[in-house]
Amino acid sequence: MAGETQKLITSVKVQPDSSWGLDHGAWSVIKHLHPKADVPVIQMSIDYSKDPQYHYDLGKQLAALRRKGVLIIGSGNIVHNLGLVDWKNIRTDNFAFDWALEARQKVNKLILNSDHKQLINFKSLGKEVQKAIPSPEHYLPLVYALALKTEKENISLFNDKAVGGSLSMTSVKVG
Amino acid sequence: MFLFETYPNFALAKCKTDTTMDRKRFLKTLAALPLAGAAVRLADLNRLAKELTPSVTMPVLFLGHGSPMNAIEENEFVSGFRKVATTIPKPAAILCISAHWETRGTFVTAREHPQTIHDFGGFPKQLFDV
Repeated sequence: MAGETQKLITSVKVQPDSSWGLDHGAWSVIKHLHPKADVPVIQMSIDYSKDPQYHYDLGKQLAALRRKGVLIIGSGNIVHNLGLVDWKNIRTDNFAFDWALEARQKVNKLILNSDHKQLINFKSLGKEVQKAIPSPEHYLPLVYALALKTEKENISLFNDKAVGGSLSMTSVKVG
Repeated sequence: MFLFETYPNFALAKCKTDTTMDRKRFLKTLAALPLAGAAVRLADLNRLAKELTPSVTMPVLFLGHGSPMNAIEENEFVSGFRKVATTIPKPAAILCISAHWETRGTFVTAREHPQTIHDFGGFPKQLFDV
């Protein structure tokens, strides 16, 4: 399937890589989806040198895999400011700082309204969102998932809770 | 070398349904490919691609992964992952784009037996045994 992925992506050069296995972003969640570990998994990396629009466009090119039995998963966190985690409250149910709550609500609303333009330009969504997304790597996997949504498809949220004040577990299902 | 994954106790599914058959054939094809070596050969990859058969349109997920401890803990988020899995047909394969693999250029994993990477520290030993 790595080949299928490479073939589909026409606008950029996607290269096979042999130095990376499955990182915790991948295996810590996939393990729960398929505990028998009987589904092959491949990973595609995030090019840190590119802007969010690039990732959105790249995501769109993966669409054909959806019709070949391939489950595409972006794994990250929407609100993710590790430096500001309140470790004393790490076990407190749904504990969010005000700015984190505001950022989560704002982004959730845009997701449910399929306002992809604003979600791609997340850096312009205000200071709360900027604090929630201090670096793009945990947010960009969401951009791939959004890119794959067709106009008519449903989109829903689950695990929509905060952790430790400055993290969110909000997850999204398209289709 | 080539992609396919393996978290521990990797086992082929028993052939009970058509989709399982597809998956088994897919995995068999993987196994038959000359995977040793430094580069994935394009012809081999094209052979593999042919093994992917048309399906219903699969959903797409974005998963908030949080702490690596979610791999071994039992909590509401983990049950949320399990619950969503029951709403999705069993996939022939998973393509994962994770926050924890950043590169210059876009890469796909290409190892026959990728290692699980414990890219964190300060967690209990149990987690490093996953």
